[in-house]
Amino acid sequence: MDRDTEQRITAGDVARRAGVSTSTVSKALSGNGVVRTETRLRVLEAAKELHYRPPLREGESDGTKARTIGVITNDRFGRLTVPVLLGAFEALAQHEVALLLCDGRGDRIREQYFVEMFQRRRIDGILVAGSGAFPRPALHVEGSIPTVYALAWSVSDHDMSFVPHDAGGAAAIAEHLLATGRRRIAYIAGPQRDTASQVRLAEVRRVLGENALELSHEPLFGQWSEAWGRQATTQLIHSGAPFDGIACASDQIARGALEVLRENEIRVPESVGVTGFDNWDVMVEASRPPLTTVDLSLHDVGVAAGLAILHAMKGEPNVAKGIHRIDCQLVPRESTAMS
Amino acid sequence: MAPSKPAKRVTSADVAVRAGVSVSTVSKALSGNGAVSRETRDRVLAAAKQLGFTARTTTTSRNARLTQTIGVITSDNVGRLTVPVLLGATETLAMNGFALLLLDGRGDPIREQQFISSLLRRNVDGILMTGAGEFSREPVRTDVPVPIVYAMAWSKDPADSSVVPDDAEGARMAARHLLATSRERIVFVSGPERDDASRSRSAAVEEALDEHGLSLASPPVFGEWSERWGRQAAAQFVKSGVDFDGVICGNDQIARGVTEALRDQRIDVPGRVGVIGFDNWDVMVEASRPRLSTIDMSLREVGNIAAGLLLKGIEEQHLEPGIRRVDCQLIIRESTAPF
Repeated sequence: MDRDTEQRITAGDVARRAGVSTSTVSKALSGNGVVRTETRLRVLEAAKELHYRPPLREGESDGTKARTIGVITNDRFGRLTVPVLLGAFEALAQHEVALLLCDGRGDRIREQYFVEMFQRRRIDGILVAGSGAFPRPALHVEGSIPTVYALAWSVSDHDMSFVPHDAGGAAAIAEHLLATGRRRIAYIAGPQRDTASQVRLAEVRRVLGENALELSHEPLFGQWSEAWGRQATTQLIHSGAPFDGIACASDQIARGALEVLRENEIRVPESVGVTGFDNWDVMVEASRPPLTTVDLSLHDVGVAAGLAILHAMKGEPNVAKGIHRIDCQLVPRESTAMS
Repeated sequence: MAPSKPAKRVTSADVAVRAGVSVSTVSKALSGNGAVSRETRDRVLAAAKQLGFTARTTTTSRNARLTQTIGVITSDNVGRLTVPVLLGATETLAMNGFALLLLDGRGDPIREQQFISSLLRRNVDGILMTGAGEFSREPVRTDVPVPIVYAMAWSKDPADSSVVPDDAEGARMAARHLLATSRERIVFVSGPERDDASRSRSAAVEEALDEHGLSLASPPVFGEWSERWGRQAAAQFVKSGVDFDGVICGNDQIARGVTEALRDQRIDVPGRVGVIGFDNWDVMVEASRPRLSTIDMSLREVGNIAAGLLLKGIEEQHLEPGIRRVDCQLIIRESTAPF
């Protein structure tokens, strides 16, 4: 239902029904001014019978509507979702749009429950934030409520999704390692089945291939954790394969790698260059030496998603469907400095 | 809520008793909002009149139950401490059919005021102010007609309602735990001294030691809430020749830094020194070697309780003033294993 064209019941209609003046209606519903309880109840009943929705208070009569966007998060409000949300906030807050927040917990049944709640509350738009960068099924949203996906993209062509261009970031990191003189590069990935692992690894291999190079060891698949970074690096050292660069699929993995290299007195960056992925301040701040990595531009992803919903809510037709990839940024630090 | 409350207020609970109905029936009857039979409504009205009960016209007459929404204003870019509080609050609210409108005040009083106005225009039923850490803060403006609860950072106004972790007791628990593992030469490292959390925890530790006729082996040292500071502080202690066998840290990042620096100096944790952190932040405690003992601030529960208080305040149109302290939990891991 298009709210803009719906017939508006006025305060005058309610006043007539309740047998009072419009100013009494206003006082009764806003709570400003003294109204007898019985009178107020009569007004409320009349308002309910007529499905009257009082306009916003004074100061809001210039036609700006109070809009709300339902947000479903899926990664326990983790470090990926929060910057995306803040970006969306920024884009929307200036337009007096608030975010109604729900925790989907990566559970499709919960997500659908919240979508239905949003529909009942006649929300103006829906933002679905994923727990990582991978494809996911579209939610079933009725009517024309604009729905945008961030981080995890919808597989449906009819949806709009905003994701970091992490393939671009992975290519940049590979090119950076080559540019700093490294040639024998190993790769430590997250779980093999993870889209992000596969995409980032594929890009690194592609860039190496273009330079007539290969990985100096087969890729090591494991977990998104420091412990895995440590274990994989230990394996790498014991394998005897020569290496002068380790590209890691995340900052946490990279941190684990750095620790084991340190313990084995392999100097970074002098002997080996190490890179991460994410630009997660907690990991990067504490790494020794400070870690070269890729920033996922999550804030920009959020801003883009927020603006897309805003434009869609206003009925502007120029928002393209499909997946929009936001560029990532290489952040070079000491861990790949040239000797 | 208005700062001046009459000494003996008639509450809707009193009306409920008089009319022989439940509190929620009283609310529904007076708000004209729910399905209440005419005779029940008349009975409630009569009871209200006899007792001289004046419903808070603002909440009831604004059809607050139609929105079933709580406004949440965060202080810290939805930071690491706020997230679990929000998760806890969301859960409790969702189970009661309420949703959460999220706005980020960034700890800026002007933004907060703006957002409160915006939330009131949207007819929220209550407001939750979440702090960035544990410290006292100025109350928001006092003429807010809906219940407000403060979480994490508590309001300086004793008439306000706040829910905070009992971190002083948590710090005492940390000290007692080290003593229980036969460590008696204890030092303390924390974040900036100007932060309430640093000061209250160091005082609590000294109190707990004093109970056993002990004191810190060296004056407490204050710096940042970071691993880097933990490493530096540990190196300082070692260099200064202080004899210590236990380190109580203001947070897990500091504890991790301390642990790493001690390991670098070939001082075995927990073999020679026990280290305990604060926060129970999984990223830090799990990746640390050895894994960290710590204090969990039960932040989800803080969120649950704060939301519960708000719901109760909306139902009964009255909030009990004061600061509620939620118990922390000691989490024991390898870093404080007994000698």
